[in-house]
Amino acid sequence: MVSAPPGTQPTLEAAEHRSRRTVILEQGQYLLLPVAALAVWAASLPGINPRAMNDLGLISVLPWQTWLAFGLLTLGFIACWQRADQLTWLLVVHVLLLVIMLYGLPVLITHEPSGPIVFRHAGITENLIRTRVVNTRIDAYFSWPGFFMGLASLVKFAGAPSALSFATWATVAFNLLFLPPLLLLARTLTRDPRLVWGMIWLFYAANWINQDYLSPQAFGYLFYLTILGLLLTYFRPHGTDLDWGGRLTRRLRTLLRVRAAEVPHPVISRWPTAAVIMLVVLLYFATVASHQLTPFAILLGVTALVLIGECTARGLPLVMAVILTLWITFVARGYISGHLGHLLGGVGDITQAATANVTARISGSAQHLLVIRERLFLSGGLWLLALLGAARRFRSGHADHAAAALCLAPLLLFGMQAYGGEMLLRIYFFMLPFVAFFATAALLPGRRSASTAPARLPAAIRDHAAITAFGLTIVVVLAACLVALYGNERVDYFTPGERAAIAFAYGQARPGSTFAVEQSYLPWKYTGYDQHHYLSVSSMLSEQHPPSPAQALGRISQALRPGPGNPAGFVILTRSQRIYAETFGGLLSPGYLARFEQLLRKSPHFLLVYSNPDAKIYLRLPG
Amino acid sequence: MNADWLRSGTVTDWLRPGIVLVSAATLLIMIATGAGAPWRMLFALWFVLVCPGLSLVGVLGLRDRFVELVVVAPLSLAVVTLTSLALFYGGVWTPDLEFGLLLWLCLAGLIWSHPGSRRNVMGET
Repeated sequence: MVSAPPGTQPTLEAAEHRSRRTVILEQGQYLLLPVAALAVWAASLPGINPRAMNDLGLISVLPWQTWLAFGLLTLGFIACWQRADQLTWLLVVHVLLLVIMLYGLPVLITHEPSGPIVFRHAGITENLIRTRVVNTRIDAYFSWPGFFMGLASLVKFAGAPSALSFATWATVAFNLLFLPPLLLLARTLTRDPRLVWGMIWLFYAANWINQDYLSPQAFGYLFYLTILGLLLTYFRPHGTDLDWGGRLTRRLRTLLRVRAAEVPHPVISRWPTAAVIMLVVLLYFATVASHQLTPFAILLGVTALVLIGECTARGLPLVMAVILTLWITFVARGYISGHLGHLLGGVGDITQAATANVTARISGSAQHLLVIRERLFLSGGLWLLALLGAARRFRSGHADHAAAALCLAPLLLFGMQAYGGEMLLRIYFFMLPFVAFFATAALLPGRRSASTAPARLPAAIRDHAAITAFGLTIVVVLAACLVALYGNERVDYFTPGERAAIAFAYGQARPGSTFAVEQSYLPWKYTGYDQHHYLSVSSMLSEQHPPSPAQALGRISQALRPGPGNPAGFVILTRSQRIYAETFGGLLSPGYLARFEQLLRKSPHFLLVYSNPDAKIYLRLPG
Repeated sequence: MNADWLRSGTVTDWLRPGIVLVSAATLLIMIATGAGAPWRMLFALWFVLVCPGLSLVGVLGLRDRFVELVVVAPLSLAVVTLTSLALFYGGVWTPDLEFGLLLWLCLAGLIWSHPGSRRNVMGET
């Protein structure tokens, strides 16, 4: 080893110190835009009044400063994205800020969890903590209780009054948790840092479907991303692995021109290989125990990867299918046997699926219809862009078969079940990372092989064109996402007055009493989940012979009448139920509600026991 | 300054056990003293999201810090979910038992993945 001449070491250190300072100062400039964005965003929050929202949702009350903040952040991201190979930490900062600003905005304005489902999830958790028993007769949630059991443990460790303590910030937390596995996935799909970060940004900027709250599906999605990331990291094929399989499988791979992946995967010994498989199985088992749909999405994705030779863990789909079958057969048997006809009735029925997922959802007030159409344009536009990107990537010789397979596999879920009209939303979510990958690829300059004709434009111009196209696209997508993501906030927003009214009702009700509402869209069921009966006018209206307001009140009066073993029931009227009817329309029209409430006020069988500007509670009197 | 300290055996050998043991001990003290929100909530969330995964990820022998970091939270959540599941279906779930079981799992993971013991158990260096 040769040592440095005396006197040169301090000079080298000083030069290194200077260059590092220059780099820090230079990179620090890129922080100006995100810091400004955060400051403008934070300053805009106090002026936002959620009560003033119309059916366009939160965007109807957002001041121009909020829009400016998102614009500044996007500008900052584009500036860093151009040098994605050198400014990784700055890109991380931008993405973290996007998550906080985009998903944290409703929380900081309303200070409450959004929508009624999260309250129900808190109720299921409370039931498990209180009873310590899994009663599968209550409802379907108790046949897939893994997530709620883990949540019950967390609530008790934290000494929190209920799972709602974690619900307010859960959306931000889940989106932050998605980032590491998303980066792992992106790293397995490409070595181009601009494509990686473009994909990440587009994923967050186009995730408008609101499935990331405190819920089993958000929990399962984390496992979905992690499992796929692990498999694509450690189980991509070498050249010889692609010769595996029977004649049909080999023919399929030849037809699809499947080649070994561009991104080299690490060579690991037998123990880590086995350990990764065990980890994948463990994560899958936790998903199967927690959610009905996500295990099927994972199984479809892994099977697709194995079939096209992009995953060498060939026995994994079988293991996953066995775990899923065992769970459905032995643990979820109670629910499955009682609903088999309903569950299997829609299998393969594309018309029914299309009606439930698209046609039936295009309804509501004029402003809400605008939001729905905008969502369709955003999703369709992104899918088209992804299609263009996929065509470009394959034409320029990239081996993106894994991304394409994972993009298409969730579509097979469409004909499986209508899933309460939400299947298309879930499919969109499962496809989103890969759609974002191809959509970004559509905007990057293509790779040119030696055999192709020389570029018509100089590289610098092509690069500028790509940056401009990408910049414009993400600005449009983010603006569209603000409309799509916040489009239901008026309905999902529960005021402190509504929360107080529901707390009053639970405080007064005795076990066994019935709660009747106009529409089951209120912050309830977070306690005493199995102790009360629930009844809604909207469910009566879906019967073959819908009752008139007077008949509906008569039926409610009968169900709530106190008697031996049947404590007095309550009718709960809240602001959010009326807003739901106004926004989403349907059979429960504002006119019907007005008549129903008028009859209720005049009825000698009901006594108003609680009232505030946002809620009223009537007690059913004896007799 | 560079990241060599992260790769040097001495620091990383003790970083993981240090984080897990300090986190677990802090939460244990908070539970024992009946400490309330918000600190106990934050520590409980940190424990559930990080400790079981951080203890067990070394057992996998992934040799890639980034993948290990990616795996920590999902592995933690899966372990908490599956232990809760086992205790609930076994009809023996209590928060104390669940916490105790998680502590033992953390300890087992740390012992197994510690370089000194791995040499003995797996014949690796």
